[in-house]
Amino acid sequence: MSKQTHASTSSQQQQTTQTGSGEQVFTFWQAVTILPSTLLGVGILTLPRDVVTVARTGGSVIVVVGGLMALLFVWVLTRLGQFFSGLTVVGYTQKLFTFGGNRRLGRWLSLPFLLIGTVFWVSFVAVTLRIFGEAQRSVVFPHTPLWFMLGTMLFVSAIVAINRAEVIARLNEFLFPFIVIPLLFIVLLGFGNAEWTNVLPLFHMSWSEFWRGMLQGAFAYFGVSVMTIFMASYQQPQRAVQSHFLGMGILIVIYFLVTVATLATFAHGEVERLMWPTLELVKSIRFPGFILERIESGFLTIWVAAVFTTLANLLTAAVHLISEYIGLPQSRRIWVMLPLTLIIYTLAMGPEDVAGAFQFAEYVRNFGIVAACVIFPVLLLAAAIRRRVGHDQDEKQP
Amino acid sequence: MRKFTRPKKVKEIRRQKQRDQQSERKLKERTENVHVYPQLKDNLQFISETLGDSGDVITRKFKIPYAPDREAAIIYIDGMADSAIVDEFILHSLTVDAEAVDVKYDIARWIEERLLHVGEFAPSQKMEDLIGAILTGDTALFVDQCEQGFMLGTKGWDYRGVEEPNIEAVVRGSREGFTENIRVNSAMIRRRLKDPNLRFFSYKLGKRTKTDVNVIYIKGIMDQKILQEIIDRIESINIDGILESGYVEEFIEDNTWSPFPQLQGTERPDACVAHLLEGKAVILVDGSPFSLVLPAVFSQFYYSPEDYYSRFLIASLVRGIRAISFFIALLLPAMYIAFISFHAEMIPSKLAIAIAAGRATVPFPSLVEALMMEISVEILREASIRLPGPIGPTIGIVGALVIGDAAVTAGIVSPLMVIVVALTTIGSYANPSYTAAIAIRMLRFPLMVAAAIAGGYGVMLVLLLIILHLVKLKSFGVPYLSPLAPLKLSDAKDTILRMPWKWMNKRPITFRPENKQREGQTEPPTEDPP
Repeated sequence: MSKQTHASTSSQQQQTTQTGSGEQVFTFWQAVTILPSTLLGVGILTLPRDVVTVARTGGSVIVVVGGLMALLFVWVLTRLGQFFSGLTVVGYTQKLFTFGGNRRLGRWLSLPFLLIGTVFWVSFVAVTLRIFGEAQRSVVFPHTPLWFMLGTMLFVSAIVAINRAEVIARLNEFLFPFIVIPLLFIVLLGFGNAEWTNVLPLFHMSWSEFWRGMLQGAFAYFGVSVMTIFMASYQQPQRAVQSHFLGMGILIVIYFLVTVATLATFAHGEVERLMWPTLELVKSIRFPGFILERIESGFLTIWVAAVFTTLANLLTAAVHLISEYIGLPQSRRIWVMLPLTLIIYTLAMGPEDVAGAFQFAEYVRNFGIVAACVIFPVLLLAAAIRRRVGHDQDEKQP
Repeated sequence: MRKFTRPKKVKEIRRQKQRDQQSERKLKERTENVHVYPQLKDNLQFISETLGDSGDVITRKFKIPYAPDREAAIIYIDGMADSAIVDEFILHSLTVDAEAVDVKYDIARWIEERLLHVGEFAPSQKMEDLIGAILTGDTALFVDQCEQGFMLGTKGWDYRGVEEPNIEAVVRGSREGFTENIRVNSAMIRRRLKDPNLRFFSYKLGKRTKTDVNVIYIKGIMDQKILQEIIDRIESINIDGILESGYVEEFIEDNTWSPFPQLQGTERPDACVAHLLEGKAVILVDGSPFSLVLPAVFSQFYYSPEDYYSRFLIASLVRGIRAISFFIALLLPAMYIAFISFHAEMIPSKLAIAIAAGRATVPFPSLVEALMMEISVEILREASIRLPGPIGPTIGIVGALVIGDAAVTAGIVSPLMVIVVALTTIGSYANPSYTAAIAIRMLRFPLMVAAAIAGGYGVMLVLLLIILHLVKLKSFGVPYLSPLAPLKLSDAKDTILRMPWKWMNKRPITFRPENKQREGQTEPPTEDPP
């Protein structure tokens, strides 16, 4: 770090003002905002339908229970990050799989995990992008070509992706209120039309429906994996559990409120048939004071920021992961970003229509579930072994 | 034939370059490391050669009564040196009042210790220093048979007096503004800040202008790392002339391409002192009434010094108004275009009908309409600045009224467009900082184009790009958007709201002050009250 500060001379003003990638930049509040602003994205538009289709009126419960389950994942990932504090997932998987001091073995063994992670993030970005475009087209821009919407959005997100963690942290922090406050505002206004009997009964479902609903609900929380990259640059990794839980708490509350408001307004039979239930909720709202007559296009405009943080964070994580693995310096990340952007664009343009896009989302979701089920046990096992071996080594050489 | 002209030219240019270099080297050789000659004649000849017999250089020879065989001469520049001082305290004291003096005294010591009645006095053997002194308005004194010259402080040229600052006007607060004289300016800061830890770092910048530049900070509050960065950047400035603080600003700012100012220019000494107390540095440049405050963050461009002088409720309210006017100035035309061309359903239906009726005669798309009006207002604005004295504002108002009204009658723009443009212009005038207002003026146009292409979505994308830029931007290592991002709650007391002074007993940690408390006991009066 002292080297960094020493290098800050006038000859390179641009360079000096940015900190090194290894620097601890995320403040506590930035660590709080990174998870919810990653997760709040396109999911919020379809979440009520996803959970209500499976669990009917129990949808709101499912969201909370799914969130609690996600908290478990968050806890495990956070503990892993704390255990290897200062390392990203690239660093610590390689460390985990280094057996007997064989670095190369660790490098090769970690590759499949990292590859799965990257593929998941990249396809997640593609899905998000596509659904974003579809939502915009369905309400505001019926005649705008899809390539324009996806291209511009991807372009802006890709510009973010080559930046340092510090910039990502501040970006999320700054945009977070602009994402959360309009949502809360809309939920509050939406309660005006609520028919509260629609929300009940809360627990009218079978166990199989419950579990299926949980999996559906868990998808809304999948993006938490980005913290495996960003946690390496936290200022206070020891308080990461608190910050992540606080962030997830905010997120669960928002998800719950949105689901409840939608369900209470439309009843479950109706929500199942709505393509964008949350948008319908927005459409049903009367703006106080009649300053604006209909606010759904305004909502979709502000919602761009939410999708933008999702895309930017996931894309940054993917770019960071790849560049760290192949040892690319920060200034050359654009060479990872460009091919990734092309791949994402192709993937996102792949599905023919909205139905195809949702089908694609389904695939990504299933892939994510399977990946999580495979990666987690292996990582935990490796961590457990490593811990024991590590203890042995520690005892040998104090 | 043509074939041969080119190489000839190149050759000529090269030769010219060599000649220039040679003459420069010669000049350097001639003036550098030249010591004062023992003979007065040689000294005077050297100086008149170096300064090229300029008409404003005055050389006055005289004899010192104590040693009539010794001749002496003073050299100064007419207009830059105060001729009253030269006459009264140099010539008079050297020629008339000469007291009988011990012969064992050396003449140099005798002049310094007994004769001269001048405060600033410095002997030097280097011709370079002496010429530098003459050029800054001091007087050089040479005595025959004395291998030393004397620099006497006689600076005193005419300058504009202290006046009320034009651009940063306040209702309540000091009426003093900086002038073009750096010493007057630094004295105004000193007078407000009687802290022994106030430090002035002096530089002479500009190879030919040799402009005085001072970096002012309070030792013990200012972060040493930021200070070092400032000093490094100032020392790397390489130019022949610094005529205004804008030169310095552009050399040392972090991002030259950014539309946002990264140093705050102010002509108010009271604002400078407030910034110094927050742990920032101030740069004064001779010849410019605008000082530079650095590092600067985004929010401080929306504060007026008055916010801190008036009571906190009204100050906070006014800041809210400024925030609204900021958004109006930035977004209103873009939003008008987006609403008209993409989101007409958002406008309440009665208003929508009225707008449609107003726009019925307008043949252009809303972007063209908006651009026409915005550009003509920009022209009016520019014109009213250049127009002399009292005509300027009148032309501005008359022009805006007449053009707006006529344009509506002619069916070129809709009445609502005139309201939008008027509000936008007024909104950008509500910004206390001129440089930050310019940034908003510039960014309005890409936003308008984006709104015409993709409605609210386009506006949002451009806004996101602007936010990304703001988030990336740093001013001397301080994040530009702090204390909002990164969020510092203790500093946020002085952002959108201005909390009472009682609660703001800490310096903002954004600027990493070494001394965090704004403490201080009132000293009891020296005399006991009766």
